[in-house]
Amino acid sequence: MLIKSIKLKNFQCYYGDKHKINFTEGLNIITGSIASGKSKLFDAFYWVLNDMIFVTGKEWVSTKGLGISLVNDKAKYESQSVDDLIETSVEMVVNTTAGRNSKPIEYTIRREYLISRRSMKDCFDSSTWTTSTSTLTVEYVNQKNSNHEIAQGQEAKEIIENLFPSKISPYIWFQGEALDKLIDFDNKGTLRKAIDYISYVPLYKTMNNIITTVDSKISKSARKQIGKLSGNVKLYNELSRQIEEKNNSIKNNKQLLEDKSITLGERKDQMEEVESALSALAEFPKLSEEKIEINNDLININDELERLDIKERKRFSSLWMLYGTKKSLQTAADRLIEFEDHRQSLISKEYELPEDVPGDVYINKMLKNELCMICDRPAEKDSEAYHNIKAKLNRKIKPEYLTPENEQINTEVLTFKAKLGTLSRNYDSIKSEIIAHKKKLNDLYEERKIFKDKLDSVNDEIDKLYTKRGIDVSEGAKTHRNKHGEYVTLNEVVRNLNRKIETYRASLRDAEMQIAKLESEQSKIQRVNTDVNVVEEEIAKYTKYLANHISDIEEKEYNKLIGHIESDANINFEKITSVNRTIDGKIKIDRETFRVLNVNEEGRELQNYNTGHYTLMKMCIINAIISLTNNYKDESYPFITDAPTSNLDDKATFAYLESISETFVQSIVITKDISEDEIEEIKQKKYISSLFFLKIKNDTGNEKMNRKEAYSTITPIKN
Amino acid sequence: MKKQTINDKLLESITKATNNFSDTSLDKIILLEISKKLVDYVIEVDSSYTKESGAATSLENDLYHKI
Amino acid sequence: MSLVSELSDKRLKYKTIHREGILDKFCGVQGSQRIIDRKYFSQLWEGYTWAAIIGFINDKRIPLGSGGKGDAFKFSVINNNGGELADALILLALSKSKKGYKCLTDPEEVINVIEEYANGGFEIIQSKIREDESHFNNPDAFIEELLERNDEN
Repeated sequence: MLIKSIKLKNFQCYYGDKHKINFTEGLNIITGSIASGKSKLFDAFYWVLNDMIFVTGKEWVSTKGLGISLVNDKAKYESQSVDDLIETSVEMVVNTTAGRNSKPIEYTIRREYLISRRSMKDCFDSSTWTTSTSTLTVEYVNQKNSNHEIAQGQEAKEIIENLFPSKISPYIWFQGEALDKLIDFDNKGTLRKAIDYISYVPLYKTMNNIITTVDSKISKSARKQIGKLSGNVKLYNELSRQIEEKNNSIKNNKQLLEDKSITLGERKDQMEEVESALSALAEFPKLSEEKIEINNDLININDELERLDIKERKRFSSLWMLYGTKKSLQTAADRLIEFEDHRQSLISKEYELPEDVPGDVYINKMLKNELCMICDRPAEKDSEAYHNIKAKLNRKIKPEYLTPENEQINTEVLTFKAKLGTLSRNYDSIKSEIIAHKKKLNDLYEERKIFKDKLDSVNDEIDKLYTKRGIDVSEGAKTHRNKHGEYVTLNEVVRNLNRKIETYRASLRDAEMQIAKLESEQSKIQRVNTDVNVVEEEIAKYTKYLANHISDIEEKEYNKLIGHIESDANINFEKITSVNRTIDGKIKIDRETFRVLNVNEEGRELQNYNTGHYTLMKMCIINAIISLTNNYKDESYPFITDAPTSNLDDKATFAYLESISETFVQSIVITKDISEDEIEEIKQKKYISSLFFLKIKNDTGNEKMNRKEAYSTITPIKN
Repeated sequence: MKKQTINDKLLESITKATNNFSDTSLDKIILLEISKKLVDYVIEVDSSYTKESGAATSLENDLYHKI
Repeated sequence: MSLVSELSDKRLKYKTIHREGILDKFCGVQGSQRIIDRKYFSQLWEGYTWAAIIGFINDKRIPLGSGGKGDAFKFSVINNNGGELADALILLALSKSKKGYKCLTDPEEVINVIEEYANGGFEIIQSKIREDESHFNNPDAFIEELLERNDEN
């Protein structure tokens, strides 16, 4: 079947009635930027058919529950008077494809919702309006008499059920967010349910039932007829009666067996849930301890870093900052030496005898000789010359190097020489100290990073426990006790069920053996008229043969179907993952548990899948199931979905869209938020048949749009 | 590619399971016809046109006519 | 009286803009703080000495000039808290003073030399900050700057 068009009037953010989309075969994409009305468009599809929309957080809400929130705000705002009527409607045109015995029929499905104004109070208040239930009509042309028919109420509902069987509809169209509920890979029941719902495999059960019913009826009849011809009618009939009894008990046991097996499956599922809850509870204390340990380690490292930091600043401000002053200190040393040399030269000068200043010994000699040996003139005792010479004898000239100034400088020089010595020694160790310090810091930083990473992963684990298991571990011991109690009970129940099932099986085996015995006894009884053909006897051969074979087929076909789903899903999965490096491996459905796994070439389960992974695997499986159903049933359903790829990156999204375009005759995909400039790129893709762009507008030109003025518009870009 | 109908599929599974009825000396043509009828009834039941019990009765009658 | 004791009473002057632009930025005035965002130096004299050394190493001597407000602190602060640094400053002044070893008996000269090289050092630091405001925000920058200095003879 094909969806031809959809038309909206005053439906949520769609104001007025100029909103119509004409769809084509192939892939139709509806896109737009955030909050442009995409989800509301999806709602329209669902609402027109089912009188409900999906509200995040509340799931499916009926029109009654939605009330005036279903009606466009601008329309409400523009209503001027009491008794104003606002019509909200969605109209969808659907064409069924030509079948073996039928021509294509076009159905126009329309749902309408009216509200009327009661007062002039706040137009957004629900008490201001009177509401009613929505009305549904389906128009079509009757094939038999070519009359234009209008179906309403129950009749309309039945037509819709025929067009979109409720068994199938959840899988044909879903919202990305609702995907998780649809197939929960952790709950093995959901995959089995999905397959049972929409595949043809349950038909085998029907086939089996019919043929076994017929077989047992015919066999019973045969026995009766043969009995009439038998030599010992009484005995024969008695044996027949017993066989009948056994057959009945077999039938009952089979039913009981089936029922118990189903219950067993459910209890086992429950047990698994409790088991994993318990193990999570056990995991938690371990993780919690780990977390405490790591935190302690981090505290220690941080303390150490703090200590090093203090040490660094201390050393910096007592020695390290001198680094680089070597040259200058050398110069200072040179200057100290300069003075020392100078002083030394002064000292040496003192011991040199200048020519004109004779030493004391020489002067005494001159006095004694009363002769100035310098100028060679006599110096008689007590003469002026004599006194001059004598004066020089006791003259005290201070050596220059001993002047107060020089003495002071000398003191300082000595002091600073010593200080310089110490300083130089300490200076030499600066570089190596700094380098050692830096290394210690880096080592600690690295260690800290390692611990931080560890902490992150432990926190992730703990988060997973919360979200995946849904456990409120803060309840701790009490939860554990409860869960444990549950587990013990379930264990007991499962044991009992297993026992019962064994009993039934044994009874069945028993009954069958006894029937065989009875039948062989019966056949021993002589027939009186051997040339009368009992037709039932003949028929029974055929029915028995078929019944025996068909009982095996159901299981075989089931396994075959799973194999098919797996391989079809993998074809798409590999196509899509070949453009996305981060996702790997293949999809595998575990035959026993019906778990869906991501495995490598050798079939070993891969770890580390993220949400994007899961989403992709689920979608590939659902696509496989639907397309296989389309193949086997004589009808192809369109695939309608809202944002199934919000968890995937762009490349994977496009690869997925391409695979959809190849799988379904018609698909309508409302994609994740895309901006106007990305449109051009999307338009070019060959596998996209139609493209529509949604945008929010207002007519007032205000930058900021409020509910009274804003409304969505639909623009066809490619059609 | 003509899509295989469900009827064909169901029939095929019977013939495959019995290897075209090779393990019996019963009339193959009759077996095939019975199988076809059975499959048709199964589809009827699935489309809710008939109940299983009704289908069983109909098939029974058919058998009487065939054999 | 020894040079050191004569110096102790003298004050080292510096410009106000450097007080605001550098010393306040890098020195926490009240003793030691334990919080992560404390400044690199806990006391004013540390920042001053650091700037002076930078001035000496880069041979940048800028007279303080007249006029304008200024601040000052006692040399004894460095001597009491800085250990060898006070001695080092004196030796550095010695290496640059035009008076040569004679400055060892001239505390005014020593002070003057240190002040002018400190002023030069402040200018250098200031231009680094002007170039990149966040230059010294990372405490590692101080050690980095140390290691960039030329240590050859």
